[in-house]
Amino acid sequence: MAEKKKLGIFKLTSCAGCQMRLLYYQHRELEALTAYDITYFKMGKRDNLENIKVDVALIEGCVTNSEQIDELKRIRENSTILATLGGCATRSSLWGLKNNKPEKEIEEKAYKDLSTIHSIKAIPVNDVVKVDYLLPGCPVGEDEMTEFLQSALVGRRPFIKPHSVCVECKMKGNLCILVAKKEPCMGPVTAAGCGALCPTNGRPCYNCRGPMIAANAPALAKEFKKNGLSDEEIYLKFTAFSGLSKVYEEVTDRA
Amino acid sequence: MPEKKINIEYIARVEGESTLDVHISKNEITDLKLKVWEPPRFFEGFLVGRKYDEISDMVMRICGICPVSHSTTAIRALENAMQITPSAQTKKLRRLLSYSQVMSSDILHIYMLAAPDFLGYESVLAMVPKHLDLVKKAIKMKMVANELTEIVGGRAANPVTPKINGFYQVPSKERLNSVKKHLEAMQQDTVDTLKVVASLPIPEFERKTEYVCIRNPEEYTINEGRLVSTEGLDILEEEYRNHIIENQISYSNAKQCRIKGRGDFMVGALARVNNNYDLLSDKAKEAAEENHLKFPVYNPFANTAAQALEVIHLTTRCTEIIDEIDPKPEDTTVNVKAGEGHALTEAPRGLLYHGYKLNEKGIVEKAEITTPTTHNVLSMEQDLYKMIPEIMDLPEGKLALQCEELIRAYDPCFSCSVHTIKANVKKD
Repeated sequence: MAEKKKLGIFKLTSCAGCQMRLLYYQHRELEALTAYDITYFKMGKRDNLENIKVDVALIEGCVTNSEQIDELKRIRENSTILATLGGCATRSSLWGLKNNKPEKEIEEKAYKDLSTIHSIKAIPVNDVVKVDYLLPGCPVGEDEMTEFLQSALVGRRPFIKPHSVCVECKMKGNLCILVAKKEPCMGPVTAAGCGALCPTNGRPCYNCRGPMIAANAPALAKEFKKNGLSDEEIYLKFTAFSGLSKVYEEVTDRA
Repeated sequence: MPEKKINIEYIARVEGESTLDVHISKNEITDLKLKVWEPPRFFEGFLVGRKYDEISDMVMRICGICPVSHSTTAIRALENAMQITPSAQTKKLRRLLSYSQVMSSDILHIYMLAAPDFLGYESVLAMVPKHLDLVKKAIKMKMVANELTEIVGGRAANPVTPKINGFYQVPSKERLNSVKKHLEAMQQDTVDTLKVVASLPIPEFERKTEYVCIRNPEEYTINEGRLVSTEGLDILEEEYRNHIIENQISYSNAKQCRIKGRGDFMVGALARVNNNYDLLSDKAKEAAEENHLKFPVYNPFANTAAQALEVIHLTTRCTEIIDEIDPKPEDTTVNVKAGEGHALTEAPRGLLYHGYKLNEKGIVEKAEITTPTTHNVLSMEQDLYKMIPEIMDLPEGKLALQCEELIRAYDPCFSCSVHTIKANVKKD
């Protein structure tokens, strides 16, 4: 039997939710995962091999200290395919909020003595090393995870949905809450993959998956304004989970 | 002896990853430090300036394992700040959500952590060849608990339906009834689980600390109640900050907590059962008696048995709550006003505190969060100080393993506890 491909799952700064979901909510993923030889997965196993070559590396979380930069570079050198696992790694997500204000101002609200706290701005993986595939999601869903794992296994390009949440929402046959109820839904500018989870559950999308590539942020901001949102409220909507992404720049740039 | 101090590998890869450093010289502990190296994320900093209706979705991302706890605690604290009293239906649905998460998390800890430790395996995967039935049973129970979270919350991981003063969408009676059948079917498995856990040999060790949790005389509570302890603490949730003091320590990114005027304390399933045993269901009490478990227990290794016991109770309670409700859409309007609010809940790993100050536009001016593992860190260290001299004669490797097992028994934030605690024990 041919040797299994090696898979390493690594964590930087994150909530561990993507790894968690990968571990314990598995159905079809399990099949895809067992086709690999998992050499590194600290959350799941005790025997982990450091500094060995892997075919596929999945990175959860973004960089918030300098040691992680070194670590990330080592992982990149040792891996054939490197993909982000979820929003934090892809665009620094929620942790990017730290970057919107002076660091000291944010840090001293959490710790009295900053002399022992080592933290830099939140940097997405893509800004440090070359990334082959960006997997959005908070957490990454089962379908997209399975698609990636199977593709990487056979050497095919994974299909990562390029469109917005709206497409999935339409396919579900939901009533558009932005148009019909004037609710501030971020669906039109948010990367698909969740199956339009929030609109299906009676609430506007809050952008947890981050921006769709080539989203038209100003057009949606204009619509929100027409529906009565203040500039400040619009700013909050577009900054919550988008982290360091440039896609919404025209709306979020306050300089 | 500073020159003998073990060099710590900087570990930032796994959430809450900790290192335990112990140095023993001439049969005495000269140094003992439990260091938590998870990189800080500054929630209390960046939540300032955000709007009240964003907070629940944001704080769920504190922890991939107990998003429901952070969401519920934040929502309740914000409701307290704006003097909102949610409906009876909302409170019951929140219970279903929280109970399902505690069940799911307890089952994980019992089978994925404690069982491998006590049965002598490196991981749950290594148990599969010899204990396939046990592992299958665990996965089945976990799936049912997750199914309930998903039906009420819209998604098992990071639920989307909870909001201030209610839910964006309530589950249908049909869907609740379908999960109720699964809950009833797993009842026997929960009783069997306690049997398995009670039969596992645990180290003989006792240290009577103060056990702290919330209590409501009408319910084995998870979501709201007075803060009580085995040493007589009995206060309102808004008085929390006057009694529990948080200190930053130089060698760890996790703070340490103590009770004002006293000292360390333990939170989690054992604290809940030690304080609230009388409120457990008859079925749970019967099971405890059958397995010769008598509470209060002062052995932290018994935390796993307490988890198994509360799973029996919560499974029954969830079926009862489902019978009591027929969810209908309700008015969930929020009248925004300035104020300060605090809330305490029981996350799976123990007491969780959130406090917020809002301005008149509903913008957060101050945020404070204290997690269960922060509450427990000092107690873990104190246990180790007492336990190590009692087992000093063990070879270094075994000594280190029992220290690891003690920390794991506390069920510290899951990711930090699964096989990532490195105990460096050095004897001169």
